[in-house]
Amino acid sequence: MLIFSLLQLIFFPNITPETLIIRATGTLAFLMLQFILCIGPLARLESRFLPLLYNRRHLGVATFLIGAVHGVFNIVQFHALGNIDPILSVFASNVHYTSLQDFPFQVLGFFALIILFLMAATSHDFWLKNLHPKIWKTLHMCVYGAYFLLVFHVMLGVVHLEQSFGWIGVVGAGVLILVFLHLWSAFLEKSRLTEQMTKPQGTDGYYLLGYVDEIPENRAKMVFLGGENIAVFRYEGKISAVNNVCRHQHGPIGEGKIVDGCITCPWHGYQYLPGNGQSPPPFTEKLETYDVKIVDRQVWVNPTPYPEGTERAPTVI
Amino acid sequence: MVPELRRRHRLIWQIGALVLILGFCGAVWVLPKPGFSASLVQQPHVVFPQVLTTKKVDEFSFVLRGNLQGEKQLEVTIQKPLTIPSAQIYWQNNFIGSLGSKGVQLFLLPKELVQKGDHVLEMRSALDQSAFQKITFTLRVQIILPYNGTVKKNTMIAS
Repeated sequence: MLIFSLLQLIFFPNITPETLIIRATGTLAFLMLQFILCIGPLARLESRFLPLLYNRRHLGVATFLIGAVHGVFNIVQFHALGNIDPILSVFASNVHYTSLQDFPFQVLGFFALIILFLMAATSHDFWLKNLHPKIWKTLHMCVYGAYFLLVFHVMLGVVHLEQSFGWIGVVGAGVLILVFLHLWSAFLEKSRLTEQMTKPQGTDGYYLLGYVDEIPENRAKMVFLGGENIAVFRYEGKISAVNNVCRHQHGPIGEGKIVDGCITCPWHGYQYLPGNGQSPPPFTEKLETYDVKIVDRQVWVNPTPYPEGTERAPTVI
Repeated sequence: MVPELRRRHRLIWQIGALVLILGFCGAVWVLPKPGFSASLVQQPHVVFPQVLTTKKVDEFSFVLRGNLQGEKQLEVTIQKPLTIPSAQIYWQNNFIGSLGSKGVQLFLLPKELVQKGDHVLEMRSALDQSAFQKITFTLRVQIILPYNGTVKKNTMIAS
């Protein structure tokens, strides 16, 4: 933001402080949202990005706050001096709703800010527990809607006002990168799932997962068998299998790693013991566990789940 | 992430890719040409030379202009920003354009709406159509006699 502000002062020496704040906060909020939406697919494609997942929620709240500064300054600067309510003025000052060229772009930003506000306000786990998890997740997936609104807010707003090919390039590149990352990671995920569906089955209800050496130390290999989403972890010369869905926000346990002897969800750090799927006290979350066996360094998994928190002795490699 | 959630993400981004790319291309397609404002598309770019009358009411100045072809043009100057968020201008109860922000704006008046007699100009709020400014222009025909005494042309003048 400082660099952007300095560049604005150099290229627009007569810029007012209000306009500088509006431009800087708007640009920063848009870039931050773009970055936040890249974190999910990046973490699925490359485990080095997993630590970013821990901080995604905080980044989201910060994005709302910066966007709110942009919105409030805009409303005060452009709508507070009229003879009608400033919020009403946002909707009434430009009424070309049927024209793409003259579309009231501020309205798009307004609705995006409302979505970001709802997400920021319900980001605490209190709301996850009190709202139904499905409602909570649906609400938070509205972030994609907010992003779509903001792309058009920027395109029909600053790009049309500035008529700058630089802005078109920046926004276009951002859109393409994000769409590519999400579709590519979804494609890989689907391929992986299809491959898992065709795992060889033994006569005793066990399915072949692969060789022990395919699982990195303190990491997991994920598999989808018989309707069960399973993460098989390797640690301290042992193998254990637990359900792959975190009880907190349905995060992918298997994309996390074992930290201090506990499986740690990559999304928000919820922890479980690999032997019984239980969160260490005083936490109460539990995962289903599964039987694993090793034959000739081949790992076999039985997808029949044991009740959440059931102790299963780890299989020694 | 549960498979159902993955499916929802995949669907959102498949639709989103289409919407974003089409919308992006659409926004670039309708990018205004430099120096051209779509909101003023109906307004003439040439200022007619003949000043028929001028009026000044509050922060508005009006100049009724004409040219040799008999066309009429209304020039509106707004000297300080409007407090109405979206204002429209009506001539004889006919919409002739939207008022922009502070500055000079030109509106071409249709010939059939500029006849001899009184003409009412109204400025209305686009929100509730209430008139916040009303001005009457009176037009009459003046016969110009050139030096040789023959009638050369009927010219509309205004007051």
